[in-house]
Amino acid sequence: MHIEEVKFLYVFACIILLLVVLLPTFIGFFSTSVDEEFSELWVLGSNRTIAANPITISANEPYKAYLGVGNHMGKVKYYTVYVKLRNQTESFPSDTGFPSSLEPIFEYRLFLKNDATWEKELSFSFNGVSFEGNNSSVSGLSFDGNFVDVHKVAALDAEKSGFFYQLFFELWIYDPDSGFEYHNRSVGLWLNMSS
Amino acid sequence: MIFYKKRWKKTALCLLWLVVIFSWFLPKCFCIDEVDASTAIDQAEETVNLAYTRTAEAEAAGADVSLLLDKLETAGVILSQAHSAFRSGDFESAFSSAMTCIDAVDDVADMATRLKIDAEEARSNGFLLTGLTLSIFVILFLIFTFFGWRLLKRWYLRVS
Repeated sequence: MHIEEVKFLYVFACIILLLVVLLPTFIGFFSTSVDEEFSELWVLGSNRTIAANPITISANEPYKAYLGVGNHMGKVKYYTVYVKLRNQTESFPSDTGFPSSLEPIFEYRLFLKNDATWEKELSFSFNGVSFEGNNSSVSGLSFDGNFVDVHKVAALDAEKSGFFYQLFFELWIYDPDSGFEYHNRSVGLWLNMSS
Repeated sequence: MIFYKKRWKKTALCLLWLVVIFSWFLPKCFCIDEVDASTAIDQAEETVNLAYTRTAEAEAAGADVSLLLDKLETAGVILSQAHSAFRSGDFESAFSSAMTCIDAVDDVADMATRLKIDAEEARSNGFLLTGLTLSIFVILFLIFTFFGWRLLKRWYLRVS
């Protein structure tokens, strides 16, 4: 082998060695995370499993559920979960990114680090429940220790034979440039009011 | 004597009027109405939003913001209570909660800004140190490569 060829091989081997040694440092410097960014919102029944759908409830009886939020957005995030109550005909958040037009009855404000989750045990009971003909009405909801006037009326659903209300939760996220925005995530519990 | 008696009566009557007027206006002066509560909640929202924005910036710069997040979490709970009280028409509680919320996060924005500056300095120093170490390593590598080649060349010529 000629000396020039040996020189070439030596230089080539040295460059490869240098690259192998420096590569981890360069990867550490210039790599950017490309993980998928998303948030989770869930509601579970009283025994921390998927809740019965619908849950049969009656006046002044306490019920339990678990509400959870998970942050996988890659950085700390500020969320608000709005708690709303509706009957079968009232507005529900659409899949196209629009929240329900109903006023919230309660809210939770959370600050979550990346990959952190938050779960809260909820307790609620309905007060002032009355039935008249094909309608049932609820005047108050005790939610997590707070009494809220709700004044909701639900008509009898003849097909499913029940008076249905839905307690649902909307996830909103704060953006420093545009304020709070609906994060296109909602979950709910269907409640069948029994006498 | 009659003159003094009349004067005393007038004074008493004036005092009585003052007491009545005072008792009428006093609650109105210190009572919190919907506008006051709403303004206080808006202020609390702005304070929390700013505190969060600064905290997020500090975290992005590499600072440990756990302590600030604890404070924000407390403020978030209080702010929710303020909104809840406002919705139920309890404006005094709403106002009081909003003020407590502002107190809870009042120093968070400044703390976050300081943490961000510290983190940026630390990162900048880290870059500098890494750059310096790499440069020294590359120079040493080139020197060893050069001497290595000379040794290899000498050995190769001797062998061949």
